[in-house]
Amino acid sequence: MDPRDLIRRAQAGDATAFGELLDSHYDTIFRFAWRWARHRANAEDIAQLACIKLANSLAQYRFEAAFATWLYRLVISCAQDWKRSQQRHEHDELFENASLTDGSQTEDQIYLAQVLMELEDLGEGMKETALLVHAEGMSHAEAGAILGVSESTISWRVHTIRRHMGKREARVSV
Amino acid sequence: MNSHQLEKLLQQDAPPPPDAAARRAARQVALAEFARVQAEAAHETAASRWSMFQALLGTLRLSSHTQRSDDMPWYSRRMLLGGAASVCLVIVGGALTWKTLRVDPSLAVLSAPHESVSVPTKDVGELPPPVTSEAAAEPEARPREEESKLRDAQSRRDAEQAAVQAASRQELAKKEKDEARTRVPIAPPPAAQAPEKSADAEEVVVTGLRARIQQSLEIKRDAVGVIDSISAEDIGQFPD
Repeated sequence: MDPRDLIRRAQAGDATAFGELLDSHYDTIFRFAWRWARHRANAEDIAQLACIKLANSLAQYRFEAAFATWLYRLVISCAQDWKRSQQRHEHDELFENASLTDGSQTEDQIYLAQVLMELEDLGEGMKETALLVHAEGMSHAEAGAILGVSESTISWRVHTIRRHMGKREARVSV
Repeated sequence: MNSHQLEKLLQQDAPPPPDAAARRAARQVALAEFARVQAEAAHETAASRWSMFQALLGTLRLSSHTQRSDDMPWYSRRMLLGGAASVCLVIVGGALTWKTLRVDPSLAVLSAPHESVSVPTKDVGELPPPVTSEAAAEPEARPREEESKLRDAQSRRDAEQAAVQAASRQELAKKEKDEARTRVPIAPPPAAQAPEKSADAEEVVVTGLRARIQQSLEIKRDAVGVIDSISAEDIGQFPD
């Protein structure tokens, strides 16, 4: 079935269509939530919040952008709301996926989590920009559309992240 | 770690597969929220229809809670509607009256109530029958045969009328007796009627005076209260 027809049926109040829409997009929602939170339980909470918000605001989707783009924006909004409600970002369960990964990747996960925290402190939208551009493989224009900023802003953020990583490498090497 | 290594780590960072229980729980919660939102939307739709109806009624309302008549539209002013209703009532009433008088114009003539004056037919019935104008104009010029025939015919009519009047007299006396119990008949003076009807009569015989007096006494005797009763004869004797 055409995804647009499925969305239209769900917007008209068809619960079955909405269930199918959830099933087809839950993996995307959970994947980005996990990359943002880097914690399974928190990612599941964020994904559930995103599903509830999707039920509330599906009627507001006007087909002006791709549904995935609109969905990324919704998940980021839910993640930021969840962050404000929890009043914490750090977690002590970085090793919960140790059984699924090898030792080197676990070390990389620790390092990646530290870097993402630094990017989050670097400025608003830096972490989301790095996740969308580098992890999700989106173009600067697509990332700008999701985050509600211009493409040049995304380019400037990517440049800032690279400069920060260069300074960080120089600081570590010294 | 430089930026290239960060990008490589992010690209290779594979999230774990979502938990089936978490997926099912999120799906159930989202479907429940979806049902609630749809029910709320349906309720809001019905409420918006009702609010539109209420707004329409508010536009046509006749009273204002703000105590300011200026807030009301001009077509819902109470005085204006009352005036329009009065004009409509006048138009409808006038049309009905005009149509009724057009069908029967005699209704427009005002007449005195019949109950105020009672003229006993007994006295009038005792008057002689009217004489034709020819017989009254030239009685001398007619021959004797014709005059005798006329007198015979006259006498026969008199006899017949006397028989009829005698029968009706008793009936009328009884009827008047019943009527006199409730009201006092005001008979016109006989002097006012007699000249008209007896102008051409040669002989006037007035009878029933005794019955009238007796009837008057019976009325006073049978009355519950203290009343006075006069008959037509008594009225005729009053001074002008």
